[in-house]
Amino acid sequence: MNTLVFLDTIVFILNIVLFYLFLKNKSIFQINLIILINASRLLVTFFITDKIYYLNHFFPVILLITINFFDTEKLLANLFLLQNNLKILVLLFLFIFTYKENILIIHPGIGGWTYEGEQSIYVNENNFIVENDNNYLELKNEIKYYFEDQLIVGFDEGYLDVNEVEVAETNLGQFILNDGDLHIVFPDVLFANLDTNHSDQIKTSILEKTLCDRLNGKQFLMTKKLSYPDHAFYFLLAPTSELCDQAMNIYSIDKYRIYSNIEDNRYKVKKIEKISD
Amino acid sequence: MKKLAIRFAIIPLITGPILFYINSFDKSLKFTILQKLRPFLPASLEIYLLRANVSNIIIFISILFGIFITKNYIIIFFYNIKNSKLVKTFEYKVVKVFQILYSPVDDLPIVVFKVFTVTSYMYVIWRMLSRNYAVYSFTGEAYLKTSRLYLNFSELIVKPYEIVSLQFIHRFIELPSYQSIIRLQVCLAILCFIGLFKYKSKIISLAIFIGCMYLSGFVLMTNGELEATEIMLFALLTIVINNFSKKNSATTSLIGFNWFVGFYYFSSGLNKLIDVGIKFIWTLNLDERRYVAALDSFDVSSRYANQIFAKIIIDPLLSDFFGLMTLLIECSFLLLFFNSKYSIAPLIGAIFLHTSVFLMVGINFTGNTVFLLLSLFLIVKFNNIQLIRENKL
Repeated sequence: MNTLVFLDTIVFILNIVLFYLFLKNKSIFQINLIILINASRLLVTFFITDKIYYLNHFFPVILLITINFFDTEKLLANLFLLQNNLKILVLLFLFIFTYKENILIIHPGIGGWTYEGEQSIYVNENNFIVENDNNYLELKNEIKYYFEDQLIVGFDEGYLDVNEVEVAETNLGQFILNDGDLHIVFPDVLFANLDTNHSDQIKTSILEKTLCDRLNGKQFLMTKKLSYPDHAFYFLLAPTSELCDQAMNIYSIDKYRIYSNIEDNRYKVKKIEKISD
Repeated sequence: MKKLAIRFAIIPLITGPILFYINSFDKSLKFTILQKLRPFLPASLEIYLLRANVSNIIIFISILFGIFITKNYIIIFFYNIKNSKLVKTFEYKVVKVFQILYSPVDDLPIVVFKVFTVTSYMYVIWRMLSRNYAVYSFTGEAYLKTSRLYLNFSELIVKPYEIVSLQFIHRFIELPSYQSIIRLQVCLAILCFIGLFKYKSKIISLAIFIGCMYLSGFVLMTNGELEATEIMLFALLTIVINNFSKKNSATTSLIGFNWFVGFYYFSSGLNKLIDVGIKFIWTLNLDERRYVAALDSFDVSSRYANQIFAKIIIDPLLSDFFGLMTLLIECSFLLLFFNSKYSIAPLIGAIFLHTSVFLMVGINFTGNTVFLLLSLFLIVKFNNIQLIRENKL
């Protein structure tokens, strides 16, 4: 058995036993043990995985032991004065904060991150002008419909923007796609566990069921405008003018690269090339 | 006490540089030592030591050894702290602050719970008709291949979320078909509609809660981490608990709901301080993110970013202000535990926070707005705040 599986299982069971004993004996001793055991688990996990997250979270958890500096008898008396629902809720918070578990209805809180250095990662330094090219004109016009000549400030020296787009070849025509059509929270994370064949198979199965809804201006069973958007929300692709009322068959999904320039603070789509067949 | 304090001040001064030195061990010194010891070490141990984070192991053993040899001092030190004037004064002040902020709550009229239930059910209807969970019927290949998620920090063989969402049954039974999941969603929407009129029904509330837990479980089972359903699920649990309790516990259940909202946001604020630190304020760098958002808004494949970011420049100072506000808003959710009227500010702040996150990075927590407004409504009721001035005429 993996060390972490063993450690986590033992600590989880200990937590259940200690919380039960705490409710029975009403003693601060069990709470201290819960804090120490869960803090130790975080520390040991840090040593095993070398992920700084665990060390960072070890300190606030072990800091909880300072409740012993205060009048713990009074604290416990107040806790046990609470109604059962609230008492259990407080203990659940303690468990989630110290053990760091996601039980669907509650988790230890969304972590912190910043956008430090993001500009240098995602924004390139290319500003050379790409010549206009009319290959894949239909697709180019469709992309132009969204962006051509729109104002974009902050790129005074000019900018070369390169993006990729997927286009589905279907029995009903060609349609631009994005991950929003899959309606999965993080498709890239899901597909990372699978080989390309399986991923493509899943993608095609989903798109054959969902793409028509989007083309008809719907999101699942509601109109797009009134619907509640997906958790990971993607660029809003426009519905088509013709109603998609037949079964959709997807023959292939092709990738294209789009080259655009920002000139005089205006976005200009220049060239499209096919990446794969 | 003074002597002890001096000793404890000296310890970090000495151990700090030592730990810093040990920390760099794996980068240079370890390899030099291992090279010299190569003739004497078995190959397997050498390979292990080359790969292992030896500096961490040394630090860990040193900490344990340090605690062991200083255990008597530590006990005396803690005893003295517990009885010190400083702690007593601090405790007294904490109690005083608690007394100022805490608002005792009288029993609320039943209509408050009715508003809570009806609003929650209406939101579930909206969600069930908008979100397509049926797509998860095709994810069988990826199912159960979850890695250690960001918001799931255990390596338990059967994860707690798998049990509470009933998703564990798919270890034995195949995933339902696309049509079956759609039928389940429609069925839940219909149940919620009936629930609008039969809001005290035990069976309806339980069925809606279990159904929503099951559907949300698909997201976690396939590496999705979360989809901002937590508060909705807790609201549904609040309704179930209240409907099943024998005595009228609506007020207690609603206080519990507010505490949950408090924990949900406060823990996020705390995590920002733990993971990033106070420098979160000046490293949030929305001024940099703005450039990415501007370009994303011109990319059909990208996550949503509103085109407003293509038209504005964000000043670094403004970014720092938003960083500070984010921390202040999330940490102020602690006020919800006191039923304090001041928690209205963070509740409104969080609505703005979710809206701006949605517009800038395309992550949608805006549905929480419904529950933040419910929480705000409860705070108004708990504190008996009159929204309309009485006409004295």
